[in-house]
Amino acid sequence: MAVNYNAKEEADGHPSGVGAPGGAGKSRKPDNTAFKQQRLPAWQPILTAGTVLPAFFIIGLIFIPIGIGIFVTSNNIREYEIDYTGTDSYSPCNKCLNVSWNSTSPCTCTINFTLDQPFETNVFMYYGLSNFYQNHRRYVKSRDDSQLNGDNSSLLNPSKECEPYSTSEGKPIAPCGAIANSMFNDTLELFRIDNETRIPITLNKKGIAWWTDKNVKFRNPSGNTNNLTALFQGTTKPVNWPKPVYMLDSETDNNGFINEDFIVWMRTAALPTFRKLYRLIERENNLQPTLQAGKYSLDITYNYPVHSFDGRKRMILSTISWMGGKNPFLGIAYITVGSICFFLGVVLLVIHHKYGNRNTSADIPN
Amino acid sequence: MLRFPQLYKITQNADGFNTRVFWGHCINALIHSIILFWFPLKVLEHDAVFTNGQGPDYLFVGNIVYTYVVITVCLKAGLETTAWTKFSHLAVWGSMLLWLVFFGVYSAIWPTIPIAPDMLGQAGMVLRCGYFWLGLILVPTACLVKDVAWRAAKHTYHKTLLEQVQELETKSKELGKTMLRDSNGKRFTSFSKRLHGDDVRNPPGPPFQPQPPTPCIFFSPS
Repeated sequence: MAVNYNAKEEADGHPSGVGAPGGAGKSRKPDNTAFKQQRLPAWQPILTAGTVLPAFFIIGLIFIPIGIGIFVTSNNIREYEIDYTGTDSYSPCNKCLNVSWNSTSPCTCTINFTLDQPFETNVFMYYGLSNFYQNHRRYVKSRDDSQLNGDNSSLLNPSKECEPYSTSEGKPIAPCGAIANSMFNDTLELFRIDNETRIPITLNKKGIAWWTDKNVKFRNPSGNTNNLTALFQGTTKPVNWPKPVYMLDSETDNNGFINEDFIVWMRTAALPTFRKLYRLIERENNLQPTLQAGKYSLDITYNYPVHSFDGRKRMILSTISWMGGKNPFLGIAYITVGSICFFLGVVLLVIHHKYGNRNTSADIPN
Repeated sequence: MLRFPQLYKITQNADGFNTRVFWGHCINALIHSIILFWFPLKVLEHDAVFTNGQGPDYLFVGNIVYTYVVITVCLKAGLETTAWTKFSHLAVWGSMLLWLVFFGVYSAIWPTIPIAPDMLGQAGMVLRCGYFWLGLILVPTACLVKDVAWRAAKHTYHKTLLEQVQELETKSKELGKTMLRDSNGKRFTSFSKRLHGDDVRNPPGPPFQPQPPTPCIFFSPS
């Protein structure tokens, strides 16, 4: 049975002139709408060498200067790094190398260094660790965020994820987990040496943690904040800490769970070699650089043992630019990708000239 | 299709999807993955990413990598699309937008809703990071530059029949001829009739057609 299909606008969907078998039944023909008959208006781009050529050249010409700009900016950032692990016998911190977490008397060492060039803008002091896998899966899970958010029931009942660091001596640990337990506890102090006198440099410990961390994610247990000792009643300190969490700092807005060094440590790093913000050195006035060129001395209270796992510890002083710290990779990547784009543009130009203007009539192969 | 019945050969020979095409896509995906993972990791490995000196964490790197993945995948899908309808636009740009919205919401729901404590604050910090925006221009471009160049080169020196036919259609559209095609390549007869009033059975066409156009007649098996 031949049906002559006229593509007239048949809104009701019934075929014209041919009755459906069975009389009054609905036709099963799909509606004659643009969507169902696949007649939607469409844009059909044809990518040929000639059409994408300009884009490649433009991208190449934009990326290369951006890359150069970023690379130059990164090179202008001042950075100074001191490794103070003390594995070498001539290092001042060698005597502290085998300190353990429960040493009664703290081991101190001093490293003298010289800054050749002044650090003009605000300086940031970091501590860096190497071969420390904060991205280990069980380590990362070993925390209780409800407890850190100040939930009183989680305070006395830490989650199972914190095992085996959830209870100690029969009491729940606050803060529980392996991340909190391994908190970095060296103390670093900076002095400028000016004709035999040591001038201490003010180190600011506020503003080193993320705002959301300090104000939303980490909260002390609810209650009278002036007496944190009472709020943490019934809990005990983490196994490897010298002091309990409510004695981290004398100021109440930096004590307990909201201590900024603790918050910075709890933000687990992505790679085994990482650095975390320790202190800020602010510029006093616009006339003088933040850190002048000259001799400096770093006083270290070496509490954190890293030698057992071949870890290394460093202190880094760095300035910051409009895009962050010193990192030449992005500039080099931009220059590379821009060059590749430009090169591909040239290749496409050659292809376009050789093949692009061939007779585009459809040669139908038999 | 009726004017170029040879176009049926494409599906008969599985030219569009066979083992060779599959492995080509797999290797391409491997290269994309290498770029998408290592570029952000190398950019962020120095842990100095914010102008206030604060540091990132592993989720920060992961979120940035994933955002680049979403952008690259959507653009790659768009590159493979031959006919962009409004649904294609919705899928490509809408997916990117949906991820952004989800990311923003997911980074803010703790502790009101007791899920995702580790994501709190991520969206704000990621969008505030200069390296993220610089990488957003760089990384998807680095992934797709080879694909676009490859496609353009192939279309120029090794056109398949399908691509030739598509080009002819666009050219004839530009020349203002009455032969209009829809996204499926079917003759849009009613539309052309309304516009130009020509005889829909025998529209004037380019002189290279191999055989005269036949009227659309469907035979249903009886």
